[in-house]
Amino acid sequence: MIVMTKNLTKNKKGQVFLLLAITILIYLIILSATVYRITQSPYIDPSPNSDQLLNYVDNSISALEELADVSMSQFSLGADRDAVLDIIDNGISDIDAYLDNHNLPSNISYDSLNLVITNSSTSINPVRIKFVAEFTIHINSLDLVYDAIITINSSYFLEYSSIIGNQNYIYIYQEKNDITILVDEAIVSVTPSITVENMGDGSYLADLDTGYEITAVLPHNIILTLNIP
Amino acid sequence: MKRLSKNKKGQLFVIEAFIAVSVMIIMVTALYEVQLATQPSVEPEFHKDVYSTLQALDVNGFLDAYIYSVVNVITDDITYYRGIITKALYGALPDHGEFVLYYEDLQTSTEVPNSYINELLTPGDSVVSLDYLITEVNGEYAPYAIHMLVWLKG
Repeated sequence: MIVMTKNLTKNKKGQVFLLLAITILIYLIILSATVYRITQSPYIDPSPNSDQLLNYVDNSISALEELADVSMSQFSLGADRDAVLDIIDNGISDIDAYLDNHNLPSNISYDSLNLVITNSSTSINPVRIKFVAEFTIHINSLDLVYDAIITINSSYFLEYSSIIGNQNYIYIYQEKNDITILVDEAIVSVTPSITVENMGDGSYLADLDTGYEITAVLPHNIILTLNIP
Repeated sequence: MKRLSKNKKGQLFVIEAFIAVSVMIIMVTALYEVQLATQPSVEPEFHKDVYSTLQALDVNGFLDAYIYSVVNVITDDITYYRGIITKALYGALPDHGEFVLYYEDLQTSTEVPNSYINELLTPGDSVVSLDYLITEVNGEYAPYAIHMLVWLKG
């Protein structure tokens, strides 16, 4: 080997041969490195529509939030706790199926014992309806692995102000995950029938008196009733 | 050339050169193939905007208000909410974007016939399919999947 190397380096042909061999080797190394870099780039074998898959996960959470609205609506209309749990179970089953249909095999669960659905006394100002539940979402697909605990803490409440002049203001609030906003789309009526003016900012003006009953139909058909003692 | 092929060193040189050239050709071909295979998807990226728009329409109650008006045949509301949804979705699409939308009742697994928006349009070649789930309509449990086909004209 040493003799061959010496021979090669001594004659001109050998030098050319060596030079050529080294050049080709360098070319090959550069080429291999380039191919390797490209095959390692994020474009190779990308997760199919990964953004869309995340959208579907996001959508399943919004669908769970809607179940909270259904629960409060049905509870305010007289459904009992068991009926609410049935709604939640059916909803989870449909959301599971929806995710499965998009190649996202999922398992959504919740602890029914910890689910809160309450309606406060109709004669204490403010009157409130409340829903709290904790959902566990587990998705294990080839394209996406997702684990989350989603807490939905949602409530609506109605209160009336003390007399301002000879008018009262009725306020309706939505409280969701510790954020409180005024609800300006409610339909508020009073028995006996008096004029209620929607001020457009979440307040409603009415001339209230003792013994009157305020009824508010909120978005998602959630009903709040408050009797003025 | 004759001298090269006659002596052993020359033959070795020629063989190595052939091997090197072959390897280079194979590598260049591989590079080309990989480049083709790793082209970013031609699928348009507007589905994110469309999804965000659907989400906004849902949060503001337009998606369930529309299906409520369709199921209960409230003609004025159908026109009103269809107009809002159509305008919002076209706003999320590029100028030459088109879409077809309809609702599927998940309890019966059937399409809601009058829920179509742009029913008569023929989808283009590269169609993006999007779905959106709602579970509540006017306070009742009513699961619907909104199916959308989106494409670019021309």
